[in-house]
Amino acid sequence: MNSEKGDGFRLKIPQLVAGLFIWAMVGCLIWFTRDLPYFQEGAPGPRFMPVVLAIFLGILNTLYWIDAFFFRSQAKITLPRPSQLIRPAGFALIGLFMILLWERLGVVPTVLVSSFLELKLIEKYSWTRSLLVGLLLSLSTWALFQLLLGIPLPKGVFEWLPFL
Amino acid sequence: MTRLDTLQLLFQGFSVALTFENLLLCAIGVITGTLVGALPGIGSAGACAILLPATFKLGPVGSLIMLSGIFYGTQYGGTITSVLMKVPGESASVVTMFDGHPLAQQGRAGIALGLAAIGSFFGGTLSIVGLMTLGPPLADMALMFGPPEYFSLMVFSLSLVCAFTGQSIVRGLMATCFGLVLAMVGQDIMTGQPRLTFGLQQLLDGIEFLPVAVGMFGLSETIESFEEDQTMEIIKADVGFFKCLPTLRDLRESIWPMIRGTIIGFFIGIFPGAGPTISSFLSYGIEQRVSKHPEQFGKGALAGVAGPETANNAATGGAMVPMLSLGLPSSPSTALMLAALIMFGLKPGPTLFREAPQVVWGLIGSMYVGNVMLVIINIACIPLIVLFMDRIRAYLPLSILLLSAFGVYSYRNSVFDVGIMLLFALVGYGMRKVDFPQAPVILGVLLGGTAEGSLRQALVISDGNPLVLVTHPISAIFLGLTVVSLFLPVLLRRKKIKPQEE
Repeated sequence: MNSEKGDGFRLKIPQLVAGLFIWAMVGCLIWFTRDLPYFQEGAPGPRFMPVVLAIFLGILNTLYWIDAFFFRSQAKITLPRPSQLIRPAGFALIGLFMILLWERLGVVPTVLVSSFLELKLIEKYSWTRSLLVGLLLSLSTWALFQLLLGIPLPKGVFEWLPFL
Repeated sequence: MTRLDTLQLLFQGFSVALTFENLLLCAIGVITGTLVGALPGIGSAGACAILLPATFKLGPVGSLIMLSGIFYGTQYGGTITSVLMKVPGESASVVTMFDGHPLAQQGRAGIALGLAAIGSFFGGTLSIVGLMTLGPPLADMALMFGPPEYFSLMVFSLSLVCAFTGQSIVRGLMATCFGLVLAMVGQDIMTGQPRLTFGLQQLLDGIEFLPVAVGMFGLSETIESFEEDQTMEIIKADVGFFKCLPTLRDLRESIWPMIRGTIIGFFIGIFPGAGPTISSFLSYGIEQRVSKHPEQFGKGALAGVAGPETANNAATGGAMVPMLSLGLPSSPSTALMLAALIMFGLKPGPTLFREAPQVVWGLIGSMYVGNVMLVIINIACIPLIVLFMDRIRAYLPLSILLLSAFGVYSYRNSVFDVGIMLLFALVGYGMRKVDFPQAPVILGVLLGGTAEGSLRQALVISDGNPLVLVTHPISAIFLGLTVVSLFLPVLLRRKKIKPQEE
């Protein structure tokens, strides 16, 4: 903890959010283990460690907030501008899109569509290049994992194709 | 174990490492490591995490050979971008940039890269000798450990990770606790009762280590890299084979920095959380202090390249000591290797040297071979590596996403795991933004179950008396060291601040 004194209380949103997240975790640890025994047959039960961790987290979070709000924290907080968040958010959305379609559509078309979207919308490549690279990536990953490593990948809409 | 026994086991290890299949895997590992090290945005832990599932079919020896190849290969590769582009591919290569890039600007890029490769080979190879010397006796000693000692040892190693990673002990401890909380999810290890599963069937087996590691180390860095368009300017330098060979004078100037770098790197590497980055910075600081021309540092001093590069490679051998002999990972990359051992049904820890000698000594043998491969690749193939980096960079984020998703899915054929991976990629991104270290989370997830088991066993043995942790001498020593490791940095920082205020 930094001992360098600052200029009184200052509200810092990132630290506030991080601290609230930790408090939520502490609450979850206590609330969702309430039905489990703390001690069982003279030995620590399943609730023992979650409660110990909740206590530790509570103490540490209080110290964290004290450090963040009353002292000049040494944390290197570099929050991106909203415009800088567009591409990371787009990338995460493509990841989510992949997860949602993975089993429904099948791996090859899902990867093709996701790769195309990533290359076209985020990397701003041409239609042809995005499509060709997407096709190449979807086929090469399928070949690597399904054919070479023998991992059964979901066929999705191509269930009827015997060679997949 | 006598020296003759060690040599016999080493020859056994070479017979495992020198089979065609293992040589090929070693080559794939070190080449991947070199490329990963050279590419900014993905570290050795990320690469190991992404490729770990792909190694399931290879068996424990093959898998470890490939993963360790990636681990020490990245330390070599990171130098290339540091010297030629002033963009460190790896955090351990940041220091190399200080003098490597000025050397490149002076037209001595080849010498800088050649010296870095030779230093890396020197440090890497000697650290394996250290591993062979220290590993087996340490494992024999650890056989005496019971649950209290094991618990205290884990607490000590987690505290070291907190002390070395990030600037704040509080944030480090919070990250560790977060990792331990994640390890609590699933069926209770002793009673089998579901715990923190929120009614989800998929969480009964717990949160797997792999999706968390891939998300936090592989994907979160990639997501962050999208924030800004980074452009890399490569210094057009002649880095052909003969241009990379240092002269005798250069070697004479660098030999002592290499020796010092090896010693620093190996011993720093043993400590959990310290690893290649800290050892390279420490080596640079020491070289600057002992140099007759400290003013040359930052302007192209050969010792500023040779020392840190040797140290960061020597640290990889040091990091293997606690991993193989105690079953304790000292970095996220060694945590992934440990996870590989667990996935193959092996029990990491002191018994590993006795129960699976072909794995341990095969790995050690392959590290010698891998270092030879790396020095050749890194002197002879630099133009090719630079060309490859130039071409692949554009498709790197997408390739990482696909490899991560496929890799995590193939572990248990579960889309749920892929979802967990994405969730932790976002959590990891958020943690980076608020300056929370990620390494303690990963180690917490990996060690949480064993630490809890050891603590509860210790309390069962002592009829619930927590004093068992301090009445056992070895356990008490570890706990004492934990207190020192947590409070010493705070005290040192205070001491540092006071004179400044005065």
